[in-house]
Amino acid sequence: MRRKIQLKDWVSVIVLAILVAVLGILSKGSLFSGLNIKNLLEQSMQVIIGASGVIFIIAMGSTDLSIGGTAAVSATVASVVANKLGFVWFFPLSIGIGLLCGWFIGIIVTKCKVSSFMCTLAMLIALKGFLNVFVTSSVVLAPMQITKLNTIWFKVGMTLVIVIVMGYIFECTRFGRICKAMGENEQMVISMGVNVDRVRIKAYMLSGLMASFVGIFQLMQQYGSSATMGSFLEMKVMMAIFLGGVLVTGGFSSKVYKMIIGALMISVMVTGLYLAGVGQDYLNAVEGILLMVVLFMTMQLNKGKTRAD
Amino acid sequence: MANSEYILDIRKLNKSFGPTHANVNIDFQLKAGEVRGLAGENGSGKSTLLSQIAGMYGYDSGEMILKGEPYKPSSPVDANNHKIAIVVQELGMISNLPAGVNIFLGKTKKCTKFGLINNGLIKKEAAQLAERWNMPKIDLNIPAGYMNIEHRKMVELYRALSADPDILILDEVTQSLSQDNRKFLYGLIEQFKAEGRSVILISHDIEEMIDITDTISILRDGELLETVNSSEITSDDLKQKMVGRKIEGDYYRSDNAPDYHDEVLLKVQDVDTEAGLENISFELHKGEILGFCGLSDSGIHDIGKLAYGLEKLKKGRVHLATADIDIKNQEDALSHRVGYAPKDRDTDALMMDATIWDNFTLPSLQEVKGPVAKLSTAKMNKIAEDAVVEYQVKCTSSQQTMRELSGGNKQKVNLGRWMLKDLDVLIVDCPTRGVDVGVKAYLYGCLRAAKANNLGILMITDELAEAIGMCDNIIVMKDNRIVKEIERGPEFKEEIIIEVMI
Repeated sequence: MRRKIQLKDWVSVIVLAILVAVLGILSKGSLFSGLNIKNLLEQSMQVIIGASGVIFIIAMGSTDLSIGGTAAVSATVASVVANKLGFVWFFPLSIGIGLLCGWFIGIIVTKCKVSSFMCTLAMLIALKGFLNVFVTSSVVLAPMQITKLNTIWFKVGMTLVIVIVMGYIFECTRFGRICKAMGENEQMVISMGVNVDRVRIKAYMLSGLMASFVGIFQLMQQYGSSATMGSFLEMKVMMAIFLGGVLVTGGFSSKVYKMIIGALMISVMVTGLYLAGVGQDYLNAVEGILLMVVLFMTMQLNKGKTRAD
Repeated sequence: MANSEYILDIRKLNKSFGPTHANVNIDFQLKAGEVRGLAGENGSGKSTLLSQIAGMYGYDSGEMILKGEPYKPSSPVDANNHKIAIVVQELGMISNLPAGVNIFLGKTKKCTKFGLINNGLIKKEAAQLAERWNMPKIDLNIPAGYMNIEHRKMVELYRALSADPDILILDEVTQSLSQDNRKFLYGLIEQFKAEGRSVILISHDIEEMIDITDTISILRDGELLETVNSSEITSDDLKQKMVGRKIEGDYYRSDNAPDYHDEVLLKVQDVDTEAGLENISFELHKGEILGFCGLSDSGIHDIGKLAYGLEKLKKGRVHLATADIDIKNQEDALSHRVGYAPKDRDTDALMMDATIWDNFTLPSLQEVKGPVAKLSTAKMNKIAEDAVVEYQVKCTSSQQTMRELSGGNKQKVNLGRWMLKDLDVLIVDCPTRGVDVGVKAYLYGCLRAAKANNLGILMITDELAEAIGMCDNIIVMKDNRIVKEIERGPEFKEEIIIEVMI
């Protein structure tokens, strides 16, 4: 007998449904217009791509705050070089930089035993600084070939492929299960016979890779890079994962579908509030409060079902 | 009021957890200066009874009378104020706080200056305790999380003593202690008796319990069957009363000579490790049970890690003959049919908040890989479902959380997750720590069957009786070195082993 479907598996879905219903009514149905659905999707897709890498890190009980910086720098540097030397350089560079950033963090976290929170935070600050060097000295435009790809179908396709591949690795392979087991009890995984350092480095590289995809995605939409590129990406991604009902300690509660629902929740909330007529001045404040309410609801509904009491 | 002869008088005590009646109409009387043992299988209600006395659970009905006054503790702190203190079976400390602070947790008022915890005062208080009770000194500055199980237990013992208890409750404390620290504990119990204070203890080591207690109460299925004088009962009678049936005679193996194949599976040659092991050499043969005995700091537990590739070598090699490779890290071991069940079950061996299913399948993931690296859910289901049946794990389903299982069943999962695999070498560190006689007999049966199946077993153990009962060869260690190797035969005696290990 495999896992029975339990109420706790549905908590995040139920909360999302409530959100959609309430904000749909408040916005007098305009939430469901074609344009808004497209908006919603575009916003969620970035978060979903980013989260499909970070979820490996969260599953282990660590954090990755650097992805916003990685996304911006990899896309920007790749654009600058591609504009000078030709488009062939674009993908290898952006992906390479993403992987490199992840590898570097992985090495620091595992070999120097720095907490992942501090290490990735420092990395974020450094990368942001690096980004400023590029965008303040000149205008960085996206290569033509990239901006041409900016169609909703291409973006949906790209997101789908990424989610399926990453979801497969996360849910169906040994690597994914080992990541989750590390969140449950890392010491156990070590004494069972796994080199957890290598697993962790790989996971950070995956996260960096996904960040570079988000960078490409943003470049497509904005036709170039800016100082605000990738801002708050890491926060939205973490929020999406936790809102979906993944425990902060990681472990087997981590599921890809939870992360997707969490990402949708955030987008629905942001767009829905705007459409419901919350003034621009108050938008962020209301958003923050609502996020807390939703997080609290998710936790209350999950209570006593995720942990034995 | 109650008979003043008794310091603690419990009448018709009941406690249920949902549909389970953990304690049914318990009558329990304890005299001042009495050392009482509680015997019973896992799940017979011993720990529940102690937890109620120590204020960790409230009781449903009945009454407790302490020194002639009605007693209904609302919390362990309240119990402490009534001079009742407990050392619990599961470890209950704050990992990030140093040992010293853990000792006086909840009583830190004694050790504060200007609202801050004063380390000097803590040291002084702890030293006073050590002197008062004749206990070994411990390092107070190490955070509890960095200590091994034995040191943590000692810290907990200190914490209990800091309440100056009239009744000290010990729930499976000796299991975690090595011979030398057990001696201190026995001394402590003697001293309690001499001062007219009482001790209630649970130990799965039946012989030990008979030795150190005055009386033993036997529990079965939540009921207190009878209380007997320790001097008038044999361990066989006691075991039989606990389980309510006769335990078969072949608890240990009955032959008196080594019996294994010549083929070498694992060969450790002239190894020095960074952790301090020196000059270690031994061979493990096909179908052999090779035992390692020694005091807790003699390095025996490092031997398991060494053989599994978890230790950094300074010189020498760990050669796995079956695969013709040197084991350099734990991945080499895992992928070449070696298994390792660590001593510290809850922290090193199991995922407590994951399901039984997850715990059983994790070591076998490599074997259930299909095309495109996909793990086969069907195969994993089969592994988990079969293992639950095969190793007789008492649970509601394989989806039950690990934490909810009793100690014995946890240990079945810890060993079973390896034995279900097709292994050549299995390393077990204290395989029967904290399990009752029934499960113990069952686990020994499993190990014997595995031996007959040509598995080479490296058995590291604190219990000499277990090593003598199960092993073909015993290697005795002292101060990180091998001091003696004994072959199964007339030399297989506790006295001979103890003589070289101390």
